[in-house]
Amino acid sequence: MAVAARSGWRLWRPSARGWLGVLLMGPSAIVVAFLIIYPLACALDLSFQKIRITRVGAARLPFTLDNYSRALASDDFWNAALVSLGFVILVTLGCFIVGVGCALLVNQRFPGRRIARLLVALPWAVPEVVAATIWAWMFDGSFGVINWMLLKLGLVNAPVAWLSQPHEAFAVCTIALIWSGYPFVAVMALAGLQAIPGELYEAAQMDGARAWQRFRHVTLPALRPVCAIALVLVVLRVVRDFATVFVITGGGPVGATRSLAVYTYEQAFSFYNIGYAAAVGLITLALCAAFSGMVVRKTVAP
Amino acid sequence: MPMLRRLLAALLLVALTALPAAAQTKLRFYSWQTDDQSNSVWWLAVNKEFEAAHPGVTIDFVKVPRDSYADTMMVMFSGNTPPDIVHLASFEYPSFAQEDFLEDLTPYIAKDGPDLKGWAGQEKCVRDGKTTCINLNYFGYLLFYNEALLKAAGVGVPHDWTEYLDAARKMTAAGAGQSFGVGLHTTAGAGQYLTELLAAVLDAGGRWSNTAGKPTIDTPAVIEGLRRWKLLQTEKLTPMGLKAEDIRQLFVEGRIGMRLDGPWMWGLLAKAKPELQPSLKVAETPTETPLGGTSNVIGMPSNISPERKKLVWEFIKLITSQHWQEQYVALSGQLAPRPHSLTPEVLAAKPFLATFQSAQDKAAAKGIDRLPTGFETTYNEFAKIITEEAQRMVIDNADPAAVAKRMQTRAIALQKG
Repeated sequence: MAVAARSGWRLWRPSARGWLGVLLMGPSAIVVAFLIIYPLACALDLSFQKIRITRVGAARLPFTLDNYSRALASDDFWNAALVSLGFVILVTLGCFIVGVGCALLVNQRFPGRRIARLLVALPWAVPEVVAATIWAWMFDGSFGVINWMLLKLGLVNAPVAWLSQPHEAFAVCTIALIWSGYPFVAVMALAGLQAIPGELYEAAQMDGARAWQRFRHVTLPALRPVCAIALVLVVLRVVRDFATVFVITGGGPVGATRSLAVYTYEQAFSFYNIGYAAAVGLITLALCAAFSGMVVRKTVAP
Repeated sequence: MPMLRRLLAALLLVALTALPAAAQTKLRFYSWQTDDQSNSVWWLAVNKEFEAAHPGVTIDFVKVPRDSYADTMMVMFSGNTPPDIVHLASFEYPSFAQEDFLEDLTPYIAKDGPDLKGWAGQEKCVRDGKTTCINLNYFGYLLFYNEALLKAAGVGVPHDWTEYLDAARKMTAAGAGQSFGVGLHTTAGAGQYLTELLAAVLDAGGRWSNTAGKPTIDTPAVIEGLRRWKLLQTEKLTPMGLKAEDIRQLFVEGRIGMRLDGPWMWGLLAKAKPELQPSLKVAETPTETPLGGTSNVIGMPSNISPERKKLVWEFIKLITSQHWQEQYVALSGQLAPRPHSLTPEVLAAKPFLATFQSAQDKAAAKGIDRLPTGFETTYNEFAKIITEEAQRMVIDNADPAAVAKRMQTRAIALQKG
């Protein structure tokens, strides 16, 4: 064991030039590690205490697992987990359908392609809170433009109470999250599409492959690594999204849009249950880490 | 030598510039009222007066939006860097007091503080025999109405629930989707939802809890209040899914017929278009028991230096003095908690204050407060429970009696922790 470790060290041991690199990167690596590890350690420590409001320098409360057992036994926690899962599935699916679709479109040669590419990426540039506020106004049940349009088109007989009905509110948040999330997928997919050699399509065409077959057997496999990374990042974004949902619905009505992020915030800053909120946050982190690890291992790693 | 002279000159310059900075004391004062329509005028005047009376002391009056106020305060207190002057909403205050973040003002008050006898809502600042804040505002709810919409619907100003409901129905029908009879907060923001629901519950004779702090939600009076709340929404007499801020704006735009709200709404009416302003009026609520309660409080942190505590206490003494309480009424157009703050001169200039005073007196006489006894430190969780169940009642068209029973069970569980 010791021999193996020693030989491993010999293999890894950097050269003199390598040492310089380590030396140069060291300070920033320490700062970054501190910025990530210290808050994480604090959160972990808080999650094992039955604490309402923290205070710097205050004596540590006794170690307890109560926060974790409370979370796992709480209907509200599982409801929030279910809401987050719903958002993850629908928003990710929506982002990929719209994003990859847009990427395929703007990858074609046509007049105004540059402007089209800009328009595709535009929602990405809008701050989340601004976008969420606009969506909330648009979907306002009494005076919103969406209801006005639906009524004008004769698609509904009466205004839809978008933000005060559970399913409708969930749908509005999903739409807003897809809108702000698809440009990232589109940009990633476009980069992936541009990296596919044209010869592959030519060869497929010569073999008699139709458009759908070329898409299925050439485009999709080539996009797989890019899409895997995009998938991880989109899922993480949806799980940690707070601003969009909070601004549009505040997690309501009746908890229909209370995701894990909103639930954590609510527990920490509204109910002053810092210890419990830290536990919920760490459970969420563990779930995200497990998911990311699984996707990366299955799709990206050699 | 010239080098040394230059160095000495530079050091002298640094010392001279540093001196005034050292003599300057800055009191950090965070508030959500720095730029509102009414309170800010008074705050700015009183801050100026304090600075003039205390050379070398300035007040750093910083705006923190109401939505993120509690978060900001919690972070500041947790980090041991609280503001010197602590301004909190009355429903936030108990959580901070419970953690011993606030100084016990009892000895200060005993020494040279204001006479708190008859001070409206002050009892909410006393916990375990300690006075940890001074109440700055006790309000009674009022009926803001659009006279033009009432006339167009052929109804007068309502005086009880039956007339209120009738007026709401007729105004909504006359509005044909462009305006509504009433405006209720029916969305996120559980505290506001609970307050507005409480107005209906109180009118029906109910309370969330008794004086001992035991939940009384499943009583017939509360059930009747819930039924009324549900009726206003299921009959679509209010626009749905809007926050109080949006509803107030719609009222100012002439699209809401009646709105039960606190006196702070009076200042907003000035924002209405000139042709609309004569129609926007205020009256006492058409309820048997008007909603009332403490609004915001002032205090000092327990962990600042004695010198700073002394200055903060000077500030608190100033704002609670008879003169500045009278000025509060004159400048903000709201009532001050100190007795006899409404002078005949101000009343003559602002006759609407007689209505405010009457509403406040009625609420205070019945000991009404929006913070239910027994849930002071868990107010936000309590508000969430009641809001969720009330929303469910409207969405699922559920029986108010069954809903009240669920609320009662959850409230008891919350108290048990």
